[in-house]
Amino acid sequence: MLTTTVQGRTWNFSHAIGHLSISAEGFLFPYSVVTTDSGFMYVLSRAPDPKEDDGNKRSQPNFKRIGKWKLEDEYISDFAQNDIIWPVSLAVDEKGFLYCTDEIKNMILKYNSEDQKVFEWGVEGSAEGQFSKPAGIASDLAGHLYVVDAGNHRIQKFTSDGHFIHCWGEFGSERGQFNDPWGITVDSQGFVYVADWGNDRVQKFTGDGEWLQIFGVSSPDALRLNHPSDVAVDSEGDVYVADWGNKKVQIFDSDGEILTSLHGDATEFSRSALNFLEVNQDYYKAFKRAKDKSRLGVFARPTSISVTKDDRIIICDATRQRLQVYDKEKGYMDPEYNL
Amino acid sequence: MTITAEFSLISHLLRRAGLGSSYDELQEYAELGYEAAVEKLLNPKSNPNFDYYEFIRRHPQADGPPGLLPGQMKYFYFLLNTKRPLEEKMALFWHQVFATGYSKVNDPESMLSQMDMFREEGMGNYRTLLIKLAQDPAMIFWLDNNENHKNAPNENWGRELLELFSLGVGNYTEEDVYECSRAFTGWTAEARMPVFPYGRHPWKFEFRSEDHDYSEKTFLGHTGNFDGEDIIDIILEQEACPRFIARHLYNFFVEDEPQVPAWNIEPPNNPEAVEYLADLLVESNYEIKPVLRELFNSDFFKESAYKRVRSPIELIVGTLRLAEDLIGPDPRVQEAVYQPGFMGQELMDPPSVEGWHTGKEWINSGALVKRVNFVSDTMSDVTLPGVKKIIGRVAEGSATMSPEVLVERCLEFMGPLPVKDKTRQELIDHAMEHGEVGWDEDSYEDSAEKAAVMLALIASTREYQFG
Repeated sequence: MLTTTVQGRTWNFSHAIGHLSISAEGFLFPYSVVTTDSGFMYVLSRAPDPKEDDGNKRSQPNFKRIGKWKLEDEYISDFAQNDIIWPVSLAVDEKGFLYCTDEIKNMILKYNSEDQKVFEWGVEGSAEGQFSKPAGIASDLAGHLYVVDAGNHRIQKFTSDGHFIHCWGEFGSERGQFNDPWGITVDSQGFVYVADWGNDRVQKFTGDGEWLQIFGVSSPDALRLNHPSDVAVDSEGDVYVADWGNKKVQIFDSDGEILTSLHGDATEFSRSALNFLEVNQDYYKAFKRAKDKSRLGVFARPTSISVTKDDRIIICDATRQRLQVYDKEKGYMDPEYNL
Repeated sequence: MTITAEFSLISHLLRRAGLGSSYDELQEYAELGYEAAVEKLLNPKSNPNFDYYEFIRRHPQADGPPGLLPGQMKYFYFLLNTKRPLEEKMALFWHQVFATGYSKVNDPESMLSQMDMFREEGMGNYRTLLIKLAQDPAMIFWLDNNENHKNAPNENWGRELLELFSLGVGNYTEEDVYECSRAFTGWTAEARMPVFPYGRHPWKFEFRSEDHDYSEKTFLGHTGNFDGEDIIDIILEQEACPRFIARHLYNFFVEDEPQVPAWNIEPPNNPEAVEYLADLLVESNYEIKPVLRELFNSDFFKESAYKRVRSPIELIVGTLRLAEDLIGPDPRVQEAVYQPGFMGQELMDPPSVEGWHTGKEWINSGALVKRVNFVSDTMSDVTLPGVKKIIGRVAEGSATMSPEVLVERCLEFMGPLPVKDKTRQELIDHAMEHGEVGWDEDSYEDSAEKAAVMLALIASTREYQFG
């Protein structure tokens, strides 16, 4: 099913982007995607850890990178290969600076729009401004940065040049507590949503950390979130949760009621995958010969979601090495049956 | 603390029936007592395993590895982090017996699925295991059963099923191999999606009835219209079968036997023990768990400490678990997966269907240097949690310590490891170069370094190569 309609809202599957590739027009475990208002998209390839060739055995080069794309599926460049070890998440601020968290370096790296690193900060620890496995990162309209400090089970708020403002949260499963949280987003009103990964829920806060709401725990068992990795909000307030453990995306209304789930619809190849197959006919033949193609389009492990200002929803389908893109149709009305 | 005989025995149990342990883990098992420790190992499902979600969150490449190295990394992570040591050890046992290699299969996910099957069925019923093995896509491709057709039988799987997986050389004829192979025609793996452009999808068994030979076969004296399952049932009736598996169990858990190809000419080191295990297999209708229970509670097992050469995996994983290094997600795990290969045991890629040659064949001049360097480097690193804890225990309750006591206490916490008098004297001679060590606040750091050197020296001894 390529169109999902529920309660006056419709999501149309648009296309897939990328394929398994060590460079350029593809990804290697795309872990985070973020879009800019100027029509660009950054995609973080987490990639396997490198192994230098010591002359004995196979080597494994470093394929970790941030890819810069135009939103219309046009690859531009890769960068940051030598800066990152275990990168987790990307964010773009209102001035166009890009931020990347690294959970091994315990740092935040800041890049300008020319892909040059301009600043980095962070040390390991649990004091204010220090990190333990920083994960999700998001920027609000005022330029503040919110960093998920996963290992310390808290959220830290910074200025865009890394000055600590305040933090909230601790380990636990009560309201306002966290268990190894992962993704984060800030909506247009400045509310903060956190994917509380280890507690199987999403929590909503004010920008100052005041607890507001929980998503996902009151759902029927079959729809309970399972280790959500990321969250995003569209222009109408609908909330998208990457339900990583259940390999789907769940959509909630702003009251926390489940609207529907997306399971992935990329049954057609992406442009870059088609280009690959065109020059690698053996793979195309192998694909044609394959018996069971039923799971070709479904999400294998959605890790990150980005929503553009015109409500295009871009989902990192990490283990399938691609992005899946949906468009939300606004003001949709079901036609009368007797038309 | 005083090291009791039972404590030493449980340490032996965790090395053989598990993959070694940290000292804390050893103490936990020791508190249970020996027989209860055996039961805990035999019932892995009652112990929650490590957090798999945490693992693949931080190592996403393990969730669908596109190459050998991420696949090996996933397997290695299981070995290092398992809370179900015997389940993992039995998976390694079957990986050794039913050796399947990435070098041909070229698909880490299928190899890892086979390992999952070994974890699930490894202590279950041998008949079930053989049927699942015959239907395992990695095995089917590894031994060419996808090329085994009604009108053109391929004997590779049929031969190895008899020679290496169940009976051993000398217990069947060439005609039996041919007839066995005919019974497995049509047992194949479906055409699956290629690795590009979106990564691997699971590979599934497929039975193609149009390619199966339904005509009569004569196999090991039986005649009928046999299919694969019938063949396995006939194999299980053979006297050679329980003896063959029993000898594998003895070789893996008790004492180094001659290499498998020599088993038809070299008798077992302990024929009574092998016969005892074989009888148990028959009595239990080929259930593996009851046999393991008797094996671990037997005198011949309890008396076998430090009489087997540790395989590279046992040496590396045992040392890392003792030092508590690379436990949990860590980018260095990817680097460490090379170590077993350097010492002759590349995970998921054995040299042939015969598996690895074991015992003294693990040791050669190149491998020995790698083995000694690895364990001494690890145990001399005072920053590692397990090394720190050992040193803390060595120092406990003493303001100063003579070289003799330092050596004795380090040996206690490294196993306990019994060493020959000559080895002990060499260790003491080294310790005497520094004289007494003090454990007060001012001298602790310096003494800890000296103790770590002693741990590294102990890890470098001949005795530590055995387990």
